[in-house]
Amino acid sequence: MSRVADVFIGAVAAGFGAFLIIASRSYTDLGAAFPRAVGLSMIVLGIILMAARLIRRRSSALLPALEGSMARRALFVVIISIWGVSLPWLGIVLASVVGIAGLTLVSNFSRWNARRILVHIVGHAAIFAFFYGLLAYGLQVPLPGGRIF
Amino acid sequence: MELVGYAAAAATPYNLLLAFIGVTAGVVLGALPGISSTFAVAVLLPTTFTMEPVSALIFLGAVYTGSTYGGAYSAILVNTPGTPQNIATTFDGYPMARRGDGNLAITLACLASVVGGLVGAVALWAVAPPLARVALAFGPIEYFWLAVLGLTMIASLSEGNLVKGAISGCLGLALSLVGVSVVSGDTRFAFSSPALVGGINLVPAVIGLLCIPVLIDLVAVPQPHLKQEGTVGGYRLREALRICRRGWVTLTRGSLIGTGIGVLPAAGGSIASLVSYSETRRASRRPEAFGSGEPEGVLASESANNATVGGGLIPTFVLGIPGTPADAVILGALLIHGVRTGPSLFTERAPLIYTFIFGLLIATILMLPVGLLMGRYAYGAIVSVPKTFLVPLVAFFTIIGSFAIHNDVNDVVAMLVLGLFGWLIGRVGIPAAPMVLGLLLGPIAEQGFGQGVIIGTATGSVWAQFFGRPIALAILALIVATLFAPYLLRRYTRRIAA
Repeated sequence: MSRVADVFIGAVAAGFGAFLIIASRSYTDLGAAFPRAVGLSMIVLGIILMAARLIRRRSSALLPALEGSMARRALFVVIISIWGVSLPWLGIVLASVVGIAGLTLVSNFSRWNARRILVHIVGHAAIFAFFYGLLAYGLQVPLPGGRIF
Repeated sequence: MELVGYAAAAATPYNLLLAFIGVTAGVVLGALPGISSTFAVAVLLPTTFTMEPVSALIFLGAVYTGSTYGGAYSAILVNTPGTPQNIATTFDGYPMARRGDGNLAITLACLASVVGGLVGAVALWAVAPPLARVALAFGPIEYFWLAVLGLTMIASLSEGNLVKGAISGCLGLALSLVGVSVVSGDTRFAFSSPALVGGINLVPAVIGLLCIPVLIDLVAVPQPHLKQEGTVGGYRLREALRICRRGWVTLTRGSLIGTGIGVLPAAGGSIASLVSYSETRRASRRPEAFGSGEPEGVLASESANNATVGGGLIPTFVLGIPGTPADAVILGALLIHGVRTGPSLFTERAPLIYTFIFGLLIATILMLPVGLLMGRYAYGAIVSVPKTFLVPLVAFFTIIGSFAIHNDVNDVVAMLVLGLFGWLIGRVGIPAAPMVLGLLLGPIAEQGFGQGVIIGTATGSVWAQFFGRPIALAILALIVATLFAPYLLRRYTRRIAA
């Protein structure tokens, strides 16, 4: 990590701590005591982090470089977010079909052919049917039903 | 002679079959992220209504102990604790799996779970009434100090990046503040959003913070999820037994910590496994190895969480106060079968209770073959399954696991937001694990602190409340000792070496 990044993190932590203390002014004394203690701790820790990096002029332990495709990471976040957020509208079955199809494409690094496509469709359908049956009928877990479908 | 009769009653073919089915079902359910031990016991409770009380108890005990161990599978193989009790198992179990030692980690988890489960069950048999009386002496102040003891481990989990680890822990504490305060009733940091009034739930937060970052990085590279080349196959039972023999102190300590914390009402397996992990790390000669695949980390966590099964049943049976949420379901089963709990239970209903304890011991021993066999196939499946199947399946469980807790899509959103946040802070060197601890311990610490202040104000001295009670002082001494002992020990060792 660069020193600048660490100083920035320290500043954000201290700022967040200050926010906790300021926001807790509208609560009762009892309700505000713990947020104030947490806020104060964050301010102290943020200042320690900043001071350590500014005085010692040494950065913290190096992190491994980010490997792989950022586009795939972003696509994963987008697809799983759509999957989760669309549950109330599409319901578990349709939202999962969309989510599973999207994540299969994003996590694939090999060339598609007719056989692979068929294996994936049948495999995913069997796995989903098994777990859906187990959760919905075996364990009686209430799964989200869609408003549209 | 009576004990032989109880053992024989527990070992009837029908009870053995129930114990086997219970352990198997428990392991399967516990392995599914989001399905907690409480859920597993609760969902199978109706199947026991027509059984004899002792058979029902043996079955539910087997489900409970099996699910506590089953959570280790997903903790080790996909960094997602199947139940909150297995959070600490991810710290070293997942790094072990990544370097190709997943089967060894699972075998170690199984052996440690069996040892912990046996110690907890023996404690239930031998020292239930006196231990339950000690638990009654725990008031809010003692719970506050217990939570502080848990929070001291935040520092130990982040060696090398101490300040950032502590910042992460404080972020977890801050997350625990969201919603209605249990102490004052204030609605805090909800920003007028009904979704936040109920607070941030632990399970979606754990799934998001620990699992989503793994998935985000998994889809970005073509390499397999877990190392396949050069890995040793099979159960690796001999190797695991050697590690257990070497780590017998860790197993003993974890089992005793698990039993002790299990006795405390509402403390539970997650805190027990974290305290055990932290203490093992502090006592270790090479604490720097923890967090990067140290087998003793798995032993510490899994022995402690399974020991809470027997430990938690002690206050349940003797006082009628459930030690863990799953014990509350078992307490319900007892009431359904017309069994009244209380100090006289061990004398008035001795055949029922002692037969159940033997049944629990049998179920725990059965966990060894069942757990090893299922673990081997779980490891083989996860290693050989292509990413194109693994990623969507794990993502499905992160979503369902978050949703199923309260049937609330807001929990899914919270899981996704925290998952992305966990990945981002990981990129700037802030670990997510201390945040999970902060979220877990925050409410316990705040409630104990708030109630302590109220009692202290009413009795005239807040200081006397916090620093004048013998058990509180003992825990305080433990906090000071655990904070400074490793440092002083290192200095002493260096001086001797010089």
